Amino acid sequence: MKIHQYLIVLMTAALLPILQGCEHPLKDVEVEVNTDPFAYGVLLRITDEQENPVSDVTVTIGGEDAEYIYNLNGYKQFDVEKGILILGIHPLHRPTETKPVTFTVQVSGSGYVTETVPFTITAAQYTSTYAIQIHRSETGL
Amino acid sequence: MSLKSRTIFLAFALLKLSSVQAQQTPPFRENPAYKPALGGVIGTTGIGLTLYQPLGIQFGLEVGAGLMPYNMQIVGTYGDYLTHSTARARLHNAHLMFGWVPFHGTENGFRHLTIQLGAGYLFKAEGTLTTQLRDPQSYGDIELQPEEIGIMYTTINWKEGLAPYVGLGFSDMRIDEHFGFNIALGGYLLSQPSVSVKGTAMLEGNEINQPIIERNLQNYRYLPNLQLGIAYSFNAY
Repeated sequence: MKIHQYLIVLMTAALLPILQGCEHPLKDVEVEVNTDPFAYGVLLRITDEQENPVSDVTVTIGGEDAEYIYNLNGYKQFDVEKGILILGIHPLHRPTETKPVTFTVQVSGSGYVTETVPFTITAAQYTSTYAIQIHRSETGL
Repeated sequence: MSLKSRTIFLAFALLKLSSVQAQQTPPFRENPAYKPALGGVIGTTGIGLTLYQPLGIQFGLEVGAGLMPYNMQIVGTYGDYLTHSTARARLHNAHLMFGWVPFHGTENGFRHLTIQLGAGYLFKAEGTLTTQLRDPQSYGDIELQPEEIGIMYTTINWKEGLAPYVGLGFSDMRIDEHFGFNIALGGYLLSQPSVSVKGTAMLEGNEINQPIIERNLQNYRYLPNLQLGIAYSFNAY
């Protein structure tokens, strides 16, 4: 191999450290993923006639968009704690300007009159709080 | 010998002498690295076309344009997530190079060595990184696909304008009477790039990575150019 051919090989090889000298664009980047998938949340405060929190009730979600309603952990399990239940709307089924999300919340329990409340969540209602008051049934007394 | 005869003899002698001198003059040496030619090039700065023009026997000009449509897939773990990124670079330029052939008089391969100075006009100089998670994520019963989780867009921009170039190469290494091979190594000096990061959906908030990426790209001011080309000479050599 002649000297100038060596130089050509050397030129080619010289490119490698030049390229290696450049940092990877994503070095040290830590991709952040929002761990809360719910952009829309509905807080329900369930009380009796005396404004006491009620937890011994069963909540059933119904209505047109019921399948897109979850608890904050992403499950279809709606337990009321200290009178509070927070619902989330599936992140891929958010309300839009033309189509709000509609569903019903039915609260029932032994000794209570079953209450069904309709909800309509619009695109602007990222968070909303509602109070549901249930009444004790005569037979439950 | 008459005056007329002597004049004719002198004329013939001068003619003969000039003929001998012409034969003794070294033959015209052509530029060993530049011929009027049109070539195609491919390299780290993309693909392009270049027009070559000698300027005497030790200088030359190269005028051309190059397109860099560069795409690459990057898979890596950044933070707690395995990600997949598509890198796209678009660095298109028109360039004018002035070449010096320092060893034009030698008989060995170094007569093809050229030192190039010039500039490229970058009429498009940007890179984008589109990053998604590689795997679906579950939130309870909800499973979201990577495209549903969101996209992190990283855009890198260099200012359009002139970028100085310096390099060296071996030009016009003959393949046959019309075609020559060339190789060049050099670099463009670019402006400091600006970076913007934008996340969508559940990747919103990744703007915090912008200073990190800016730091990583601070040395992306040199666009290395290793380029191979074949040029067609308009005349046979």
